[in-house]
Amino acid sequence: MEEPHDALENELNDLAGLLLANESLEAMLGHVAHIAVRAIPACDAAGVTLFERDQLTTAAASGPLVQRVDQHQYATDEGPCLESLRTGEVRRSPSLKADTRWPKFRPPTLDEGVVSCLSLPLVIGNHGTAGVLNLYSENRPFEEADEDIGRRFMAPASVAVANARAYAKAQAVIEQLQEALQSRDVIGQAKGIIEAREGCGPDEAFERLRDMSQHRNVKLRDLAKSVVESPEETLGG
Amino acid sequence: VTPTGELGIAELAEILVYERPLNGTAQHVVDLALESLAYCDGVGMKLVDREGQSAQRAHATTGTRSSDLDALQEALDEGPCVECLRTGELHLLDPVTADERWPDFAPLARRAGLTACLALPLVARGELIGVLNLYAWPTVGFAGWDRQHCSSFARHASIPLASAQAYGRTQVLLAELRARISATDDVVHQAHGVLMVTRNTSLDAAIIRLTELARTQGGTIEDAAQSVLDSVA
Repeated sequence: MEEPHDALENELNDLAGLLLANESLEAMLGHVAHIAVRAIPACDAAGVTLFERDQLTTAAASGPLVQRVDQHQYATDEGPCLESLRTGEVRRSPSLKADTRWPKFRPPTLDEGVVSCLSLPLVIGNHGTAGVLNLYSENRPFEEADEDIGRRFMAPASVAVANARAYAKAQAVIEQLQEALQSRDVIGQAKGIIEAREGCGPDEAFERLRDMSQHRNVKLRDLAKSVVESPEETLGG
Repeated sequence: VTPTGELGIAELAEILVYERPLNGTAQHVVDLALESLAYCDGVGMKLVDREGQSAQRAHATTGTRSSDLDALQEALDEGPCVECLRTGELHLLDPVTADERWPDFAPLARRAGLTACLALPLVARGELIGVLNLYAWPTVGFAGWDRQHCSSFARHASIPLASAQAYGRTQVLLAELRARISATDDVVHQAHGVLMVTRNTSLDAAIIRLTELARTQGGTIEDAAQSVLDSVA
């Protein structure tokens, strides 16, 4: 039988061994969550919350409980995950029942059967907190020993998440550019309209199109088409 | 295993592959090896790319002596580094067996002061991505490398290096796509868009307008388009 210490080393190795490949960001983060569940004794469920464009999303989770509890945090705007994100520090609640810190988050979370939680911030250099690894327990409390193990996860998990996110971003831009190449006529026209209206160059015009397409969740080609068909309505008077 | 050895491996897990170009990541890894592995006086690394992209190849060393020894092996097509790249396995040059195994490289290396060389394969997802060469030229007390620990370092190093290559491939593709997007025939479409705004007209009318412009200017449609774009820049 393996010593517990070696088992932890193996999990840390797995975490450090996450390789960038043609895997989605969510799949990568899913690995991180599952490794946490395996390595941290009290942990029954884990998920990764990402903070991007002022939006909180549970990008990966080991099970549906995580999404439900995370949702309580987002909805009540309080809880260990949000505090961890804002402060860049670890937040641990050994007994949620006895914890008075989050009066709005606590009742619905206790109803879900969660008894204890631990939130680990994912901090990348001096770029602030990119997300949080949230751990939930339905049985036993997260003790200091759990937190110690969790802390050893933070650096490699942060790096894995940062690398995966950079890779996913590059992939997303590649897809958009490929799409743009296929419909370069209408996108070129839309760029010209933006250039003339705003006195900017083609690269800047394309960046604007790309940003708008992401924000409005509209395909680049469709957005460009509506710019050409009705510029005022699409771009604003 | 020394504490610095553990530290080197932990630092490998903290490499952000998008922060610097592949060469920078390779350099960081050879520096870490030199710093954290016992009996290392110099380190060289060669990355190969199975997909054949020259941008994903890299060579990094901790100094001229190491890069000379890397170059010598390559020039002679002989030595532990060459063997490692050929077989995907670890190869050791030690003073006892060196001459017999590598008759050309060993004497030259010895003249350059080399005591030993350990070539470690860099393997990710079962694929050989390169080789890490450890060099020793101590004045006294070389006790040999802890092969297990050095192999472990190489195994851990392969992950950020392979990831850096994967990220590098996206950057090559991005540059290619960007160049194709800003190629000249895009200028014509843009000019149509500009004319729609400046002439307050429909797309069809703008297309006709640009052909007329080209005719009156006596140049190509691309020239006319460029002049339209310049007028709003």
